[in-house]
Amino acid sequence: MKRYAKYTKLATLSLVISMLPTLAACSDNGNSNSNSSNNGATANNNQAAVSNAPAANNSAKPTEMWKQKFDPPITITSAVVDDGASRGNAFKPGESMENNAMLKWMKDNMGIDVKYDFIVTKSEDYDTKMRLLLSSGGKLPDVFGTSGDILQSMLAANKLMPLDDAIEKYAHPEYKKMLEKFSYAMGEVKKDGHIYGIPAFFMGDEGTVMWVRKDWLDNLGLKAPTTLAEFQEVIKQFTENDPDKNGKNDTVGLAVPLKEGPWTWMGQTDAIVGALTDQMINTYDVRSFWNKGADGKLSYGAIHPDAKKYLETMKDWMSKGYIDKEAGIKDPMKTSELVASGKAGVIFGPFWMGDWPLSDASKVDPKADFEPFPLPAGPDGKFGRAEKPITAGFTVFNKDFKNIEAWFAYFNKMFAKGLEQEGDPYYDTRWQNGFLEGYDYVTVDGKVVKADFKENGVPEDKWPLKDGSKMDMRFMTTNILAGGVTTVPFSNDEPVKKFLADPNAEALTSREVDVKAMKRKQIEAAGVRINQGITEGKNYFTGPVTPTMKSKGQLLQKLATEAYLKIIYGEKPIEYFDEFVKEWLANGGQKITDEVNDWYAKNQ
Amino acid sequence: MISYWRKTWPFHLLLLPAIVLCIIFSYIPMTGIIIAFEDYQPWVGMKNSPWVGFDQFHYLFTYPDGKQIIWNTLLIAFFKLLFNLVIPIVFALLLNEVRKVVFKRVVQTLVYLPHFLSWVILGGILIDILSTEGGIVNRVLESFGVHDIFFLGNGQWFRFTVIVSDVWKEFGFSAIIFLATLVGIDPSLYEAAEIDGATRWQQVMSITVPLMMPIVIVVATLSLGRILDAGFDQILNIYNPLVYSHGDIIDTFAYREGLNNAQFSFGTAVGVFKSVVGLVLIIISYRLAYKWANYRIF
Repeated sequence: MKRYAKYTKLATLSLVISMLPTLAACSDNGNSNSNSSNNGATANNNQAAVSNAPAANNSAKPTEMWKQKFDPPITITSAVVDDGASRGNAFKPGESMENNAMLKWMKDNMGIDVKYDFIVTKSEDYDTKMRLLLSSGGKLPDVFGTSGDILQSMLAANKLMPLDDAIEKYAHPEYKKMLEKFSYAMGEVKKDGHIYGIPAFFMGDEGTVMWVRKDWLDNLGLKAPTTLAEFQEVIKQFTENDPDKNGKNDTVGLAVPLKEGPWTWMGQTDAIVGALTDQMINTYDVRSFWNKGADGKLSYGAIHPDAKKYLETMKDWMSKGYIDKEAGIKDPMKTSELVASGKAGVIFGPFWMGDWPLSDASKVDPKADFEPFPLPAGPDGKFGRAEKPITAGFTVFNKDFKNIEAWFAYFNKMFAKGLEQEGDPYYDTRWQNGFLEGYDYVTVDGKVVKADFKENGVPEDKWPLKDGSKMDMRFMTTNILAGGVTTVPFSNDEPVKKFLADPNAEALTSREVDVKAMKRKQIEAAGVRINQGITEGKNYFTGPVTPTMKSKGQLLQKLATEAYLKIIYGEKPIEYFDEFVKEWLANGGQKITDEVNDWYAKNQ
Repeated sequence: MISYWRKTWPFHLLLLPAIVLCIIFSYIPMTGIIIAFEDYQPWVGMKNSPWVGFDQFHYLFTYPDGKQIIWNTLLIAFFKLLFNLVIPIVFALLLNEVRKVVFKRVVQTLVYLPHFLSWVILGGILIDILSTEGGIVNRVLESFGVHDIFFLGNGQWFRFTVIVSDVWKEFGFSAIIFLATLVGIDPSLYEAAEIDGATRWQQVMSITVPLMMPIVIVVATLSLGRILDAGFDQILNIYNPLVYSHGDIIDTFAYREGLNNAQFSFGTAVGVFKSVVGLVLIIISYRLAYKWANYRIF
């Protein structure tokens, strides 16, 4: 459905583009409050001057930055996708994205007035709207989230504000440290040495673990595999020896989606690759994986000779039937159905699979028990996995935006709330118990209750929602943090260790509350991931799509996924790999390699 | 002349909204075709994007897979057109001979139901029922002693599956127009034929088929314009790298290239190419229909 919508977008776009002159006329006289005509390249402007002036009552002491309040109030415009349906308990009745308690709180306590230039129901519409604003020269929102080709178009058109000075001046010190640590992941928003976007970071905890049917292992008297050889034995037994004891030859060892190649978001085989080589392989996107060689140059993993080891292994397993025969036509969702139906014994994937989809297997067979195990080691004792991109999205700023320090005031407050550090000058003590009383927490007789209001004896008239359920504050609080609320990567690790050691330990911070709320299997899997201590294989290319990637990337992706599958299915001999590499390089691959290395030389 | 206008102006007035809509929604957007001849960059707009002439078209035809993709499209679309014409006609003729009205209605309803299902859903269903591991189709074949067929993973079988499943989905709906024609045939013709001693078969061949010909020609002519539409949403939902070589068509290619890679000019060029081929085919087939069947649509 979504794909189809994207397709029709082309038609819509061509239609709308032809009407641009009229649209441009409408949006030109937008509500830009540009009372001064400076270029706004830095945050050094009249409003900032006000906030720094000693007499102004919006200045806060450096030790109490959380008290920052802007007077007169500052209006910040943004844009958001809100389908109104999938957000669950985001608002109380009568509230909306544009009118809710958080926005009111910000207006009253921070002097920030949030307005939305537009609210659309689908992300496709959001992209279209941005493209239109871009091509019609209309006024972009002050703050918004973007990525991909729209981001690059905006950079090329000089519509965005460079943020180096603002980050230096206003950003939370801990966040600054993170930006430095993960600067390799920000290629997309860098241009001419300047940073143009504030990244929201992922937790970075989705590294692959191995999920195996423990009950099948027990049935066959096997141990969890620790090496690739043992792994092969296990999937062999799972395929041939009727591990579910139903008397039918209807099981398969390894469930894996190969429609998108070795790397995808669930069921991926990066662990098999990692056991055989240091290379990381993705055939489905020419932007990854670019591995760093001994000479300091980047090379594309999928064409590295080591990939043959992976292909030979997979081909061998496929020919013997240890792998789902239909892997080549399945995407991760389809593969997860095979696992959930109790027909496959092993699947790789992130820690969260312990809940969905793997817990579904026990609906078919109550004894079904998927357990997380460390990744098996290869013949040389190697093991490894690939790293998912660490950034979730970028918040960018209209180059004419004047009040970036107000945005940072809110950003820092939210960030400090996530950190929950004593003595942090940005940590707002008013948010100690939660964001808003009567929303994400209530107090009864001096006791703070955050969930299960009924069980905790909260009188019904104090429940945030009539049915007594919890509110989901993410939608209300994200507002001007358009690229998403950032987490601190890997900050889950310590809480996971804590609850692994003692499942009943008391959750002290909100991070710990989140971790404790996870399913036991998920915590165990997260523990397996952390304890195996693997340095995840990075994609060293994080820059914008290069010109040749744009024109030839599609062809190369098709070439690579097709070649990999043909070899794995035995339709082509393994020698075909060399032919494929030659073809890949000749059809733009060599040029892309040069472009990538040029980028890397400039940006490493 | 003046008296002609005096008589007909209300009709022209009635026509006006349709003409205005047509201009706004069909003709003005056509200026967007310019994008196909430019290296379109959204931020500089249609007016200022650099002009590249026929480069985008050149790219389509010199693309390493270009020939294969166009051939796949033609092959799949041709067989779809053929069977989507022949099978509904045969089906309509057969159904028309059924005496029991209830049975007729039930069958008619059942066969046109699939038309309303989206390919996104049907794609998932197809993957399941055509599975080599317990899929119902392969189970049935097995009982006839046929070995598992990997319908969606083998190139030749993939084309076959695409065509058959499309015909299965659409034939009931396409048959409606033929059934309507059959109902409209003057019963006195059959009565006369019966009096002359014609058998049922002779009646069909000498009355029903000739009277259906005009509508068959209309449908065939109109569908010829879609010769380059091999069924985008169907193929997008069931194809995979194993069958790229036999199943990748112009539309899926343009989708990956044009939208996933944001190559708007290229996507538009593919659209223009398809439209031009469609237009030429419609004009030719319209002329042929006039010449051979003495039938005019417009």
